[in-house]
Amino acid sequence: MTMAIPGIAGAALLGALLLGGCGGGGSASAPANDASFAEKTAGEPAPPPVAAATAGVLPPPTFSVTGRIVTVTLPYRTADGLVWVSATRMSDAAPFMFKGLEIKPGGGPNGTDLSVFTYEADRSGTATLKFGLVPPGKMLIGLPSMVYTGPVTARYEANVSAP
Amino acid sequence: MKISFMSIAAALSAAAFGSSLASAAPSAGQWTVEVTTGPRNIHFNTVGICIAADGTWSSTTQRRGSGRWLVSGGGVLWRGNYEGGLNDAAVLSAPSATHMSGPLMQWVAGTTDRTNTAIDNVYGTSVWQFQSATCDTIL
Repeated sequence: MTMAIPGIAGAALLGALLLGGCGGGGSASAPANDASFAEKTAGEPAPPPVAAATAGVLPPPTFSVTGRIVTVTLPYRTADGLVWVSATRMSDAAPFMFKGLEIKPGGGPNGTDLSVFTYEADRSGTATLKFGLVPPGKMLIGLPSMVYTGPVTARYEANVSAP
Repeated sequence: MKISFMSIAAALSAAAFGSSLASAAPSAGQWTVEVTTGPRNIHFNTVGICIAADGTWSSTTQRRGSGRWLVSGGGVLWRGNYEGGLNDAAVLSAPSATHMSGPLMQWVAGTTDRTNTAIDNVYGTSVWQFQSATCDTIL
Protein backbone atom coordinates (compact mmCIF):
# COMPACT_ATOMS: atom_id res chain seq x y z
CA MET A 1 0.00 0.00 0.00
CA THR A 2 1.38 3.35 -0.92
CA MET A 3 0.91 6.23 1.38
CA ALA A 4 -0.03 9.73 0.41
CA ILE A 5 1.12 12.27 2.91
CA PRO A 6 -0.03 15.61 1.64
CA GLY A 7 1.49 18.46 3.50
CA ILE A 8 3.91 16.38 5.48
CA ALA A 9 7.55 15.80 4.81
CA GLY A 10 8.06 12.46 6.50
CA ALA A 11 11.65 12.75 7.53
CA ALA A 12 11.27 16.31 8.65
CA LEU A 13 8.30 15.35 10.77
CA LEU A 14 10.08 12.40 12.29
CA GLY A 15 12.95 14.66 13.08
CA ALA A 16 10.62 17.07 14.76
CA LEU A 17 9.12 14.27 16.79
CA LEU A 18 12.49 12.94 17.76
CA LEU A 19 13.09 16.27 19.36
CA GLY A 20 9.57 16.45 20.71
CA GLY A 21 9.05 18.11 24.02
CA CYS A 22 7.75 16.39 27.09
CA GLY A 23 6.34 17.17 30.43
CA GLY A 24 7.73 16.31 33.79
CA GLY A 25 8.08 12.84 35.15
CA GLY A 26 9.79 11.10 32.28
CA SER A 27 11.39 11.47 28.94
CA ALA A 28 10.39 11.12 25.34
CA SER A 29 12.19 9.70 22.41
CA ALA A 30 11.49 8.09 19.08
CA PRO A 31 14.49 6.06 17.96
CA ALA A 32 14.11 5.27 14.32
CA ASN A 33 15.75 1.88 14.80
CA ASP A 34 14.15 0.93 18.07
CA ALA A 35 14.37 -2.86 18.20
CA SER A 36 11.04 -3.57 19.82
CA PHE A 37 9.18 -1.27 17.48
CA ALA A 38 10.89 -2.70 14.46
CA GLU A 39 9.84 -6.15 15.55
CA LYS A 40 6.20 -5.19 15.61
CA THR A 41 6.35 -3.63 12.20
CA ALA A 42 8.40 -6.29 10.52
CA GLY A 43 8.38 -5.98 6.80
CA GLU A 44 8.02 -2.26 6.88
CA PRO A 45 9.78 -0.94 3.80
CA ALA A 46 12.21 1.90 3.92
CA PRO A 47 10.57 5.31 3.73
CA PRO A 48 10.34 6.72 0.24
CA PRO A 49 12.49 9.67 -0.72
CA VAL A 50 11.23 12.77 0.95
CA ALA A 51 10.39 15.81 -1.05
CA ALA A 52 11.46 19.24 0.01
CA ALA A 53 10.14 20.22 3.37
CA THR A 54 6.78 21.90 3.30
CA ALA A 55 4.89 24.03 5.74
CA GLY A 56 3.13 20.88 6.90
CA VAL A 57 5.56 19.93 9.63
CA LEU A 58 3.60 19.12 12.74
CA PRO A 59 4.23 20.55 16.19
CA PRO A 60 6.01 18.08 18.45
CA PRO A 61 3.97 15.75 20.64
CA THR A 62 4.15 16.19 24.39
CA PHE A 63 3.20 14.27 27.46
CA SER A 64 2.60 15.07 31.10
CA VAL A 65 2.47 12.98 34.24
CA THR A 66 0.21 13.82 37.16
CA GLY A 67 0.51 11.25 39.87
CA ARG A 68 -0.25 7.98 38.12
CA ILE A 69 -2.06 9.55 35.19
CA VAL A 70 -0.22 10.13 31.92
CA THR A 71 -1.59 12.36 29.20
CA VAL A 72 0.01 12.12 25.77
CA THR A 73 -0.88 14.90 23.35
CA LEU A 74 -0.23 14.18 19.68
CA PRO A 75 -0.79 16.87 17.03
CA TYR A 76 -1.91 15.89 13.55
CA ARG A 77 -3.95 17.18 10.66
CA THR A 78 -7.13 15.39 9.70
CA ALA A 79 -6.65 16.66 6.16
CA ASP A 80 -3.46 14.62 5.89
CA GLY A 81 -5.45 11.41 6.12
CA LEU A 82 -3.30 10.05 8.93
CA VAL A 83 -4.13 9.40 12.56
CA TRP A 84 -2.22 8.54 15.71
CA VAL A 85 -2.54 5.02 17.02
CA SER A 86 -0.95 3.23 19.92
CA ALA A 87 2.00 1.01 19.11
CA THR A 88 2.21 -0.52 22.57
CA ARG A 89 0.63 -3.81 23.46
CA MET A 90 -1.29 -3.84 26.71
CA SER A 91 1.22 -6.11 28.40
CA ASP A 92 4.04 -3.79 27.40
CA ALA A 93 2.24 -0.74 28.76
CA ALA A 94 1.92 -2.15 32.29
CA PRO A 95 1.59 -0.78 34.90
CA PHE A 96 -0.16 1.81 32.74
CA MET A 97 -3.57 1.04 31.30
CA PHE A 98 -5.30 2.82 28.49
CA LYS A 99 -7.88 5.06 30.09
CA GLY A 100 -9.21 7.37 27.44
CA LEU A 101 -8.91 9.04 24.09
CA GLU A 102 -10.10 12.44 23.05
CA ILE A 103 -9.94 14.02 19.62
CA LYS A 104 -9.74 17.80 19.64
CA PRO A 105 -10.39 19.20 16.16
CA GLY A 106 -8.43 22.40 15.77
CA GLY A 107 -7.21 22.11 19.34
CA GLY A 108 -3.50 22.18 18.55
CA PRO A 109 -1.11 24.94 17.57
CA ASN A 110 -1.22 26.38 14.09
CA GLY A 111 -4.63 24.93 13.40
CA THR A 112 -3.62 21.35 13.99
CA ASP A 113 -5.90 18.75 15.49
CA LEU A 114 -5.01 16.88 18.65
CA SER A 115 -5.24 13.26 19.63
CA VAL A 116 -5.02 13.00 23.41
CA PHE A 117 -4.39 9.59 24.95
CA THR A 118 -4.76 9.06 28.69
CA TYR A 119 -3.23 6.21 30.67
CA GLU A 120 -3.42 5.43 34.35
CA ALA A 121 -1.09 3.20 36.35
CA ASP A 122 -2.51 0.76 38.84
CA ARG A 123 0.79 0.52 40.68
CA SER A 124 4.24 2.04 40.60
CA GLY A 125 6.50 1.31 37.70
CA THR A 126 7.75 2.51 34.35
CA ALA A 127 6.78 1.92 30.77
CA THR A 128 7.42 3.19 27.28
CA LEU A 129 4.26 4.23 25.50
CA LYS A 130 4.66 4.20 21.74
CA PHE A 131 2.55 5.77 19.03
CA GLY A 132 2.58 6.02 15.27
CA LEU A 133 0.87 8.11 12.62
CA VAL A 134 -0.88 5.80 10.14
CA PRO A 135 -3.84 5.76 7.74
CA PRO A 136 -7.27 5.39 9.40
CA GLY A 137 -8.33 1.82 9.95
CA LYS A 138 -4.79 0.59 10.34
CA MET A 139 -2.96 -0.46 13.49
CA LEU A 140 0.62 -0.91 14.57
CA ILE A 141 0.01 -3.88 16.84
CA GLY A 142 -1.84 -7.10 16.41
CA LEU A 143 -1.98 -9.85 13.86
CA PRO A 144 -0.02 -9.30 10.66
CA SER A 145 -3.20 -8.70 8.71
CA MET A 146 -4.07 -5.82 11.05
CA VAL A 147 -0.72 -4.10 11.03
CA TYR A 148 0.10 -1.27 8.70
CA THR A 149 3.18 -2.24 6.77
CA GLY A 150 3.79 0.96 4.87
CA PRO A 151 6.17 3.65 5.97
CA VAL A 152 5.17 5.12 9.28
CA THR A 153 5.30 8.86 8.82
CA ALA A 154 5.94 9.69 12.45
CA ARG A 155 6.51 7.89 15.69
CA TYR A 156 6.56 9.05 19.26
CA GLU A 157 7.67 7.38 22.44
CA ALA A 158 7.10 8.54 25.98
CA ASN A 159 9.06 6.95 28.78
CA VAL A 160 6.82 7.36 31.78
CA SER A 161 6.98 6.51 35.47
CA ALA A 162 4.34 6.14 38.13
CA PRO A 163 5.25 6.73 41.78
CA MET B 1 -28.45 9.90 34.17
CA LYS B 2 -28.45 6.16 33.76
CA ILE B 3 -28.62 4.93 30.20
CA SER B 4 -29.74 1.38 29.59
CA PHE B 5 -28.41 -0.79 26.81
CA MET B 6 -31.92 -1.35 25.53
CA SER B 7 -32.57 2.34 25.09
CA ILE B 8 -29.25 2.79 23.35
CA ALA B 9 -29.90 -0.21 21.15
CA ALA B 10 -33.35 1.06 20.27
CA ALA B 11 -31.99 4.43 19.28
CA LEU B 12 -29.14 2.97 17.30
CA SER B 13 -31.44 0.44 15.67
CA ALA B 14 -33.77 3.16 14.50
CA ALA B 15 -30.84 4.94 12.94
CA ALA B 16 -29.36 1.85 11.39
CA PHE B 17 -32.30 0.12 9.83
CA GLY B 18 -34.21 2.63 7.88
CA SER B 19 -34.30 -0.01 5.21
CA SER B 20 -34.62 -3.74 5.53
CA LEU B 21 -31.26 -5.44 5.42
CA ALA B 22 -30.40 -9.08 5.58
CA SER B 23 -27.55 -9.73 7.97
CA ALA B 24 -25.18 -12.64 8.21
CA ALA B 25 -23.71 -13.81 11.48
CA PRO B 26 -20.23 -12.39 11.80
CA SER B 27 -17.36 -14.78 11.24
CA ALA B 28 -15.68 -15.92 14.42
CA GLY B 29 -12.19 -14.55 14.78
CA GLN B 30 -10.26 -11.32 14.73
CA TRP B 31 -11.89 -8.10 13.53
CA THR B 32 -10.75 -4.51 13.31
CA VAL B 33 -13.23 -1.76 14.02
CA GLU B 34 -12.71 1.76 12.74
CA VAL B 35 -14.79 4.45 14.41
CA THR B 36 -15.38 7.90 13.00
CA THR B 37 -17.22 10.67 14.75
CA GLY B 38 -17.44 14.34 15.47
CA PRO B 39 -18.57 17.38 13.57
CA ARG B 40 -16.32 16.53 10.65
CA ASN B 41 -16.82 12.78 10.84
CA ILE B 42 -13.19 12.46 11.77
CA HIS B 43 -11.43 9.22 12.53
CA PHE B 44 -11.68 8.47 16.23
CA ASN B 45 -9.93 5.16 16.76
CA THR B 46 -9.31 1.67 15.43
CA VAL B 47 -9.62 -1.23 17.82
CA GLY B 48 -9.27 -4.99 17.72
CA ILE B 49 -12.19 -7.24 18.62
CA CYS B 50 -12.23 -11.02 18.89
CA ILE B 51 -15.67 -12.38 18.07
CA ALA B 52 -16.49 -15.87 19.30
CA ALA B 53 -19.10 -18.13 17.77
CA ASP B 54 -20.85 -18.49 21.11
CA GLY B 55 -22.14 -14.92 21.01
CA THR B 56 -19.40 -13.34 23.07
CA TRP B 57 -16.54 -11.01 22.19
CA SER B 58 -13.40 -9.69 23.81
CA SER B 59 -11.12 -6.77 23.12
CA THR B 60 -7.63 -7.46 21.85
CA THR B 61 -6.44 -3.86 22.13
CA GLN B 62 -7.93 -2.66 25.40
CA ARG B 63 -7.70 -4.45 28.68
CA ARG B 64 -10.71 -6.24 30.07
CA GLY B 65 -13.15 -5.43 27.37
CA SER B 66 -15.83 -8.01 26.67
CA GLY B 67 -19.49 -8.49 25.94
CA ARG B 68 -22.03 -10.21 23.80
CA TRP B 69 -23.43 -10.06 20.29
CA LEU B 70 -26.44 -11.52 18.55
CA VAL B 71 -28.15 -11.50 15.19
CA SER B 72 -31.50 -9.81 15.55
CA GLY B 73 -33.88 -8.91 12.81
CA GLY B 74 -31.96 -7.28 10.04
CA GLY B 75 -28.79 -6.63 11.95
CA VAL B 76 -26.20 -7.59 14.49
CA LEU B 77 -26.54 -6.17 17.99
CA TRP B 78 -23.25 -5.76 19.81
CA ARG B 79 -22.64 -4.48 23.31
CA GLY B 80 -20.23 -4.78 26.19
CA ASN B 81 -18.06 -3.06 28.73
CA TYR B 82 -14.45 -2.15 29.35
CA GLU B 83 -12.51 -1.72 32.51
CA GLY B 84 -13.14 1.67 34.01
CA GLY B 85 -16.86 1.75 33.33
CA LEU B 86 -16.71 2.33 29.59
CA ASN B 87 -19.76 0.94 27.82
CA ASP B 88 -20.10 0.10 24.14
CA ALA B 89 -23.08 -0.65 21.94
CA ALA B 90 -23.55 -0.92 18.22
CA VAL B 91 -26.26 -1.92 15.79
CA LEU B 92 -24.67 -3.22 12.65
CA SER B 93 -25.72 -4.21 9.19
CA ALA B 94 -23.79 -7.23 7.98
CA PRO B 95 -24.01 -7.71 4.23
CA SER B 96 -21.46 -10.48 4.55
CA ALA B 97 -19.88 -12.54 7.29
CA THR B 98 -16.65 -10.57 6.98
CA HIS B 99 -17.85 -6.98 6.89
CA MET B 100 -20.22 -4.99 9.08
CA SER B 101 -20.96 -1.34 9.62
CA GLY B 102 -23.30 0.85 11.58
CA PRO B 103 -23.66 3.34 14.41
CA LEU B 104 -21.67 2.73 17.56
CA MET B 105 -21.74 4.47 20.90
CA GLN B 106 -19.23 4.50 23.72
CA TRP B 107 -20.12 6.13 26.99
CA VAL B 108 -19.39 6.31 30.67
CA ALA B 109 -22.32 6.62 33.03
CA GLY B 110 -22.71 10.15 34.24
CA THR B 111 -20.35 11.68 31.72
CA THR B 112 -20.54 15.42 31.33
CA ASP B 113 -18.66 15.48 28.06
CA ARG B 114 -20.52 17.23 25.27
CA THR B 115 -17.88 17.21 22.57
CA ASN B 116 -18.78 13.85 21.04
CA THR B 117 -15.07 13.41 20.48
CA ALA B 118 -14.05 11.85 23.81
CA ILE B 119 -14.18 8.16 24.47
CA ASP B 120 -16.53 8.60 27.40
CA ASN B 121 -19.22 10.03 25.14
CA VAL B 122 -18.86 9.11 21.51
CA TYR B 123 -21.65 8.51 19.06
CA GLY B 124 -20.00 7.47 15.86
CA THR B 125 -20.03 5.30 12.80
CA SER B 126 -18.18 2.01 12.82
CA VAL B 127 -16.77 -0.13 10.04
CA TRP B 128 -15.95 -3.71 10.98
CA GLN B 129 -13.56 -5.77 8.90
CA PHE B 130 -12.83 -9.45 9.49
CA GLN B 131 -9.10 -10.18 9.65
CA SER B 132 -8.45 -13.77 10.63
CA ALA B 133 -10.11 -16.86 12.05
CA THR B 134 -7.42 -16.75 14.71
CA CYS B 135 -7.69 -14.00 17.26
CA ASP B 136 -4.78 -11.89 18.36
CA THR B 137 -3.32 -12.63 21.76
CA ILE B 138 -5.23 -10.71 24.40
CA LEU B 139 -2.81 -8.67 26.48
